[in-house]
Amino acid sequence: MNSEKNKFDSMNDCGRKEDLLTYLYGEANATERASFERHLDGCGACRDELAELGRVRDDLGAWQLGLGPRAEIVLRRSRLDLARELIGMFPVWVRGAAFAGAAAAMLLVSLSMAGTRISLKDGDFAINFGATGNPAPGAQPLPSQEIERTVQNAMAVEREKMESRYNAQLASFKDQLDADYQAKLRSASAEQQSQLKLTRAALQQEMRRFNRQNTSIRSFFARDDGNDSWGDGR
Amino acid sequence: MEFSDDQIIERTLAGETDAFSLLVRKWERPIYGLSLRMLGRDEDARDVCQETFLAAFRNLRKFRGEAKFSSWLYRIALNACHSRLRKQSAMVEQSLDEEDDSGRKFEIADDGLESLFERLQRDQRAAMVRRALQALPTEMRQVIIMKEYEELTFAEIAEILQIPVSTVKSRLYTGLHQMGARLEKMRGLL
Repeated sequence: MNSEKNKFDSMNDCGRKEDLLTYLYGEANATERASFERHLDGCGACRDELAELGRVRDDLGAWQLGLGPRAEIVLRRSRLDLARELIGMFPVWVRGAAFAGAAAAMLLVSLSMAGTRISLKDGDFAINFGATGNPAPGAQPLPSQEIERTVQNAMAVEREKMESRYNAQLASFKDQLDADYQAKLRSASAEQQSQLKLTRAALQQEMRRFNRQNTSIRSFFARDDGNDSWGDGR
Repeated sequence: MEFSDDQIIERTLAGETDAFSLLVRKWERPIYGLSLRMLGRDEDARDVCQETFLAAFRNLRKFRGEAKFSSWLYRIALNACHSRLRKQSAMVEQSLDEEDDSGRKFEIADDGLESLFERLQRDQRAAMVRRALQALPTEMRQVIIMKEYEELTFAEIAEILQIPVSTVKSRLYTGLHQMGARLEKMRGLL
């Protein structure tokens, strides 16, 4: 760096080369600019150098590029992003049902791992917490297939509920749309009718005016023909 | 609505990888221009452009926001240019000559009004500048490119190159003088 500095200084007789560059590239503030301009008045070397560097800059400006190509960057998606995108493709109710099912399954698995027993007694669904609760008298622990079936049933019920909620929402939305559409149709029709009335009235008025003019022209010529006011039989 | 670089980076880091394409769109032209002027070959410039954005994407978490994103990006691009120049230093000069002869690589804006003669003169002048610039030592060339074509401030260039502002000015000053001498010589040969 020292050698660079020395080289810089060796070309610099008046010690204002840095200022010259700052001035040349318009980075000087008002005070620096005024100070350097005062220096320029008395320093022919700096004036010449400023002109010379200006010419080089002018030459440099001759090499302009057109619009560069668009970079083709393909970013690899992470598995998480792909999964997120895939999930996003399903309707909300499917996502909700899947989430509820997964949550129920996780709950059951974690409960069973914590020593909780799930049992059915007289058609009732009972959960007994291993450490704190006692099994219901006469209740039998469920085999894993039974648990699976129970979970599947619970998921099916939940799915059915969500589906019917979704359908109801859809129907209500459709009704709302229909109602809006009908209202808009009525309003547009009324507006059209009123426009039509106005146009008809304007047309009738115009017709009346035209008829009046027509009558007066006819009467004028009728009178004129009778009098032969031109005097030459025209 | 236009997002700042920092906002886009935040979104990208939060998992919205598509947001990164906004940064690519914003900075691809400056990075391509810098690479093309540094390397002199369109293909190399495109490759460096791609490498730069891929490296930026992969290392985005390492970007701490102490410097400006653009400075960080320019630094990556310059590093990519330097490593390419080191590998292909002999081939660059040759390819420049080929391109100059065919005239394919000069992309000068066509305003449809200038005469053929003026256009040829301008092409010739651009070719001279290109050759003179390519013949400069890399450290001077990069400073001239960043100052003249990317219009960065002295402080920004100093930040990108991680050198003092006075060194930036020194390199620019020497580089401009060398450019002037080379251009003068070339004009004498015409």
